[in-house]
Amino acid sequence: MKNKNPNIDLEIKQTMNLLDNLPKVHARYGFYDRLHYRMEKENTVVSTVPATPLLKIIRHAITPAIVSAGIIIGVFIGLGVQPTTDNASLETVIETYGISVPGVQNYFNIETN
Amino acid sequence: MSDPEFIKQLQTGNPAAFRRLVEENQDRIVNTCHGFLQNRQDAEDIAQNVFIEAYRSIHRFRGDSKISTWLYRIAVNKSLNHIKVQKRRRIFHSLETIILDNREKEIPDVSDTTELELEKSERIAVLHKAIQSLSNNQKIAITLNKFEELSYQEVANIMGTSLSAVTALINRGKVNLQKKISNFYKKK
Repeated sequence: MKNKNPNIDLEIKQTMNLLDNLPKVHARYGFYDRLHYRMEKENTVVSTVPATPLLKIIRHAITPAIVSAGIIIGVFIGLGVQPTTDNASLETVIETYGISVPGVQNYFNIETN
Repeated sequence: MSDPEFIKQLQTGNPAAFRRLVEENQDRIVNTCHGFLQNRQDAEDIAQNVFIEAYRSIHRFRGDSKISTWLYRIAVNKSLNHIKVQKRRRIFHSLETIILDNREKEIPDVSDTTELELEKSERIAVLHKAIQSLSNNQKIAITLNKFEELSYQEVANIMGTSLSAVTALINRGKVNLQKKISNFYKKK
């Protein structure tokens, strides 16, 4: 495919010749250090070991338990129910309901009159 | 094939092995990414992404090809993805500049450049633009063969295709390049 203008042919030839003589680009000094810094910053600490079937089963079993516990805690907080173990509250319960469990008292070190 | 002991070390997360992997391959990966992206900083960023991806998925590497072939594959995919994202961004950016007219133009420093060097870099820019406008497969084959000087067989291994397919891709690519370059100089 010849062009009428010989200059264009020369330009094309010279440009195509560069295809076999392209300059190479090298990584800049400290490439690994920058990569390492970035990986640490992005916290790319992931397991390079594949999960075994047993590990997968354990993961699948634990995940719903954690989610359920989260939901229960969320509901408790939402309803204003707070688990308590302080002495005053236990004494109130014992007095109100008239129950006295020595084991419980000992456990919580409650001194009763 | 890759050294099985080295692969094993990589797969167990050995930091020294990962460092060796990076240092032995960083130049070829940066150069390959640069072949696609034509921007030094982008090429380094994408090359870093390549090694991060390699670190994360080394357990999937089966060792039936050279590790450099596997890294080249990641580099090609990441570079092409980056180009795709950039194209999308460029559309929005050009819309923005039409409205705001605040385009920041990159002015190359040519103070120490001779006329010959300037001509050469202009030709390289023309060549790059022409390569970028090729079809993806022609672009990959030509970039790996011309920028990284990989053999046709190595390019075939990376692209997961046959030697004859790569030969055809490169030959067709060269014809298309010539046409595109010819059109460019005719319009000039």
